[in-house]
Amino acid sequence: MVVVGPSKAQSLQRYGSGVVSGMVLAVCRELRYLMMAWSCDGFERYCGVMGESSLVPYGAILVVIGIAVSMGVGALLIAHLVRPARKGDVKDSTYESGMPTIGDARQRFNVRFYLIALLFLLFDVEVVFLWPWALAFFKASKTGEPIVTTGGFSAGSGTLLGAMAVFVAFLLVGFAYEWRKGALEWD
Amino acid sequence: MTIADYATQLSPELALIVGACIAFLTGVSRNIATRSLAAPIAFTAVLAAIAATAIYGRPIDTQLPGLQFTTLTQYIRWITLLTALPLILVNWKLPVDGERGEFFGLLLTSVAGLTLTAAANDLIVLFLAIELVSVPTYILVALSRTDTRASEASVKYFFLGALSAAIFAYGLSFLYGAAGTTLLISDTAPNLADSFASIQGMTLYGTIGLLLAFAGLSFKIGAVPFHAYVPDVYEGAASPVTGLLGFLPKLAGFVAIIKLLTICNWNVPDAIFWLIWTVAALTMTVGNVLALLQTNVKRMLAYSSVAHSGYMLIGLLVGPAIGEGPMHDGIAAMLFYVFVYGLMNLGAFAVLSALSNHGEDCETLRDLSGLIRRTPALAIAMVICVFSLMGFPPTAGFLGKVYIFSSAVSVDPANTFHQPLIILAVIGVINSAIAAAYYLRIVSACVMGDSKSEQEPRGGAYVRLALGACSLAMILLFIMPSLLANPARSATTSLTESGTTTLAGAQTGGQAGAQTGGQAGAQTGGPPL
Repeated sequence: MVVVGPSKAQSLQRYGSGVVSGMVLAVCRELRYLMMAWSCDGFERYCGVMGESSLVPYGAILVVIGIAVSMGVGALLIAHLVRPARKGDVKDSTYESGMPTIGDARQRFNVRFYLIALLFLLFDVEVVFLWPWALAFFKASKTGEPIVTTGGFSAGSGTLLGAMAVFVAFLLVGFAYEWRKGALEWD
Repeated sequence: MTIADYATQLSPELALIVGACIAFLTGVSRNIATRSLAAPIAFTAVLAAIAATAIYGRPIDTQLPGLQFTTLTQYIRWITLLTALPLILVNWKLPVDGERGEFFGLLLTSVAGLTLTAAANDLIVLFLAIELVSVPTYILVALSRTDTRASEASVKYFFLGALSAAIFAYGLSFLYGAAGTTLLISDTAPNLADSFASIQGMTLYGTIGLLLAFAGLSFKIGAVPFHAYVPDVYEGAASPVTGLLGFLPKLAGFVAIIKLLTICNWNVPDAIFWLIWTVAALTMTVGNVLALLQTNVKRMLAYSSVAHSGYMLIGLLVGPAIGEGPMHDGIAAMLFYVFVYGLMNLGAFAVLSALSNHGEDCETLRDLSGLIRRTPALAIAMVICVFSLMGFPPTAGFLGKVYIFSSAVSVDPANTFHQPLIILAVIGVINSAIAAAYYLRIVSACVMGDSKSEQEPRGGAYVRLALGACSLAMILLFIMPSLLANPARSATTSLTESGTTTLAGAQTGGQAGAQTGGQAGAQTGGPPL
């Protein structure tokens, strides 16, 4: 059984309780502001105090953050109050009912994994551009009208097809390069 | 506007990128003859881009989304592409077989990124263009040599570059938050220039954004306190690539700063003026003083590169005076100087790469000792380039410094920042004198040292050709500065709407200057110098 030292566990716990109490304080403050906001003139005044009036639309995000933090902290808090406190080497191990841990997770990884990640990124990001293009192309080819962007750029379906062909051609250059360079071979 | 507008306006960049793709593909060919084609392909691509700039590269009124083609864009395109030719020549034989395709492909990509930076009219395009310049240079440093020093330099450069890119992007996010748009300048749509036109429009967020963006770009130009990587990276990379590092990322950083100050109409809060003032003074002084302590020529030139960024920042602080020419127009003086610096720096590093000592790069003063007795042509070229770096007539570097300092002292005396700019110019002149001490050590080693080291010239005809071009350009631009000064003057016409102004223009006298000198100068096109 691989054992984590008790001192580490204790310090973790101490640190954890500090974080929890800090979070509780923060949540209390948020709640106070929330109540103030609801009771008075709504979010606009509260956000206006913070800085620009342009922060107003972010009020909803603040509520979501508040809910998220209070749920997380609440779960931890309830568990802390309800659970039995038993200590011991087994309890402090990383996986109490699992395999004993072997070594540190912070070790060197083979550089090939990074290469795979890079190759994945290339073809993953490509899709981000393909989706909006597909929608625009669908619209242009169905109606026969050129697509006009807010910037004043207009393109018919033929132009769109040509533009995507150029884009894919550039990607294919990269693909051909990595293939010939042997980046796709594991050994 | 249609796809044809894109094709014509972006034709120089398209030529470069297509050339880069072909270079990449030839790099993985199984045929050794095809693999060695990368350098000629890159050279042809740059020539094609120059032809495209000459034919289609005119400033136009219609804006493509995210792009704007002004007189500044054209100027940057010309100087970038003209410097790219000797750059490719110097690097011609550098990469080993099997890496030539990547090397020249990346070099072309970096050049294309620089011309796109000059055309960017959107924060996102600006960021992407700057990264397109920087990312290939990290790899070029690693490809330039096979030893571990180059890898170390490359990794250092990459991590610090990534950090600076993050700071830059963070600053841009503040600018976006303050203005609600990423568009820099536009006649119709909401844009940053309208939001920041006055100091009042510059909110706290806008100021923070500008500060962070300037910090991120300080890394690219190698300004203090983000200069620490410069000597290590310059020393680690092979000399031909080092010549490239002194031009491409530096110019990209300066162009981006010009773009950001243009959207403020050159009226920034006092805090930013004093920040840039302090950075300029420190950059000059720290660069020159630390260069004094070096015996390695590459490190010496690296610190000199830091110091030169300081000189160029003076021009930036003075700001544009439309139509006045580089004697009064700080930006025109800076644009003149940056091209001259690119060439003379490349020339000095080309000399180092043309010599080798037992297969190693020529790096120390001792390696250069008595060069004039061994290879007089190389020694003369080195002396011309170093005199130009020092700012000694009859070279273009002298004129560059004269332009920068005279633009600083010619600011309207009614201006609040008249005096600080004069003080800065004085600091610059003192620094030029300090710099002469270490530049003269290079000259004296070349001319007077005893010829004991056993170097054999290498690098062949291509390096010599580039070196000849750089040194001749230094002399030619001294005799006929209007060749470069006139384009530099016209390049600043697109930078403000209200004519003459300095970074301090809003304080006093800015308005008066705008109505009299600026507009009149812009219309009549003042004297060339």
